[in-house]
Amino acid sequence: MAALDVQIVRSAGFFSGKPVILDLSLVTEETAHLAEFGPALKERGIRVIGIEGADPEWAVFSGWEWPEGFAGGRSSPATPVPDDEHGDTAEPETPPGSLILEEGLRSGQSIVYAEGDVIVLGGISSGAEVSAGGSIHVYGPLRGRAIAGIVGRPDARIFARVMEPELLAIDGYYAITEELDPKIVGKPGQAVLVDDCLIIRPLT
Amino acid sequence: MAKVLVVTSGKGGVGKTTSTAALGAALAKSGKKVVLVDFDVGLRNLDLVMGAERRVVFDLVNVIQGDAKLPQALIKDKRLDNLSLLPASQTRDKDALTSEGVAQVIKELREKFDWVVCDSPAGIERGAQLAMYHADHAVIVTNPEVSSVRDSDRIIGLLDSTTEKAKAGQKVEKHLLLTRYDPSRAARGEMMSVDDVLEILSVPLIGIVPESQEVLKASNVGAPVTIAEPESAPSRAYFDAARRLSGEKVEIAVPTEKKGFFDWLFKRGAA
Repeated sequence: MAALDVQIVRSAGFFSGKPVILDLSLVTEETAHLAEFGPALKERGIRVIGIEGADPEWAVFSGWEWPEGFAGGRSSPATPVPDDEHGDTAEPETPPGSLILEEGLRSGQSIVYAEGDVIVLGGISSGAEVSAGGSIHVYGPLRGRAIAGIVGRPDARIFARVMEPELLAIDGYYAITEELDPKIVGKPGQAVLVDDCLIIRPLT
Repeated sequence: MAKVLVVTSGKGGVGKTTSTAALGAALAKSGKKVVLVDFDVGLRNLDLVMGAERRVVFDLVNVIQGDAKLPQALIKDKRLDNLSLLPASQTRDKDALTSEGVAQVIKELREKFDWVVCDSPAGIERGAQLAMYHADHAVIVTNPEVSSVRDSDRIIGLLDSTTEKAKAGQKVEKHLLLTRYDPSRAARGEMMSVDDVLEILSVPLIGIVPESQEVLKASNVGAPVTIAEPESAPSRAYFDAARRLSGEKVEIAVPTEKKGFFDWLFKRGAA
């Protein structure tokens, strides 16, 4: 538990909003402190969505909130793993919540910021990519890829002053340029997820 | 204080080598001591464009591997006293370049010359990275077409993140050179406009070189266009670009459809 606290202090956003599955196959009913473990995780804001390798009937689990099993689920396109050669732009000192990029991203550069929103003061060039746990705001032209809500946030949005993206994605649902309303392409716009459908609206 | 200039583009065939030769000769004509360094190991061309292919004895790789001293490898231009060439090796490949070796050669060249002009190979791999690593200035050669513009954008990103200057928290001074610009096609809207390119790349423009027969002809006779046809439109663009590199303020001339120029083209076509 102490090691977990260190991890949380070091990387505040590591677990935020991320679904966690516990594997308890290495512990037994008699393991010390097992009764407190579940509530302790909940206290730290870690969302447990599944538990494996243990029986909910065990007495030690009386204080636990046992998650409901899940079945089905939907497929979403795999988030590409970008090679971040522009690592110097990501500032770890920025408090979690938002990452502000003073300059735009050039073709081939990519940023992944799972902790929250990304605000880009320049543009995102064709061939560049921004992934954010929250929303993405682009004050220049958005010509590359913008992937918002990567930690499972369907309420994330993508705003751009000039909407000409190669690809937009929110919480795994994506749209490519061809699927966008040509009336909005090249104009100020925002992308939102409505009923699992990615739509873009003009920004007025 | 010597300056290192890299001529780069990402995409091949846009006019890096031609522009290196023409800009280098233009800088030399303004009285500066200039050396042109060919980094395209394995596919060297700068010696041909400079008309020095029959005088190559040692090359960049020989110097880096310690087989020859730098002065032995430098080839002095026959037309301009203060212009030299350090050729690339044709029999080796880019792996023959080491970063320590390149650093040492650039350091020695800085002591001898005012401008060290590096002709980068196409691509974004090792050869191109080594050519740009020590640069103080970069000329990004771009054609007014989407593929060239996107590749230039990629190269600008690398100039801002992987060069020695960028690692020290400084910036490489970047200049955009638009080449193979065809005024008649631009007028008909068949080509990206200068404004479109500038809007995407947002790098200050250093010159617009029109597509022309003089440039092709000059490359084939082994002379930079600024030496072979100094009065031609592309030469004027290169001379102005060289003055801007030296810090002068010169207005940018956008090539337009000139009747005389077209008559000349037409006559050539008929002859």
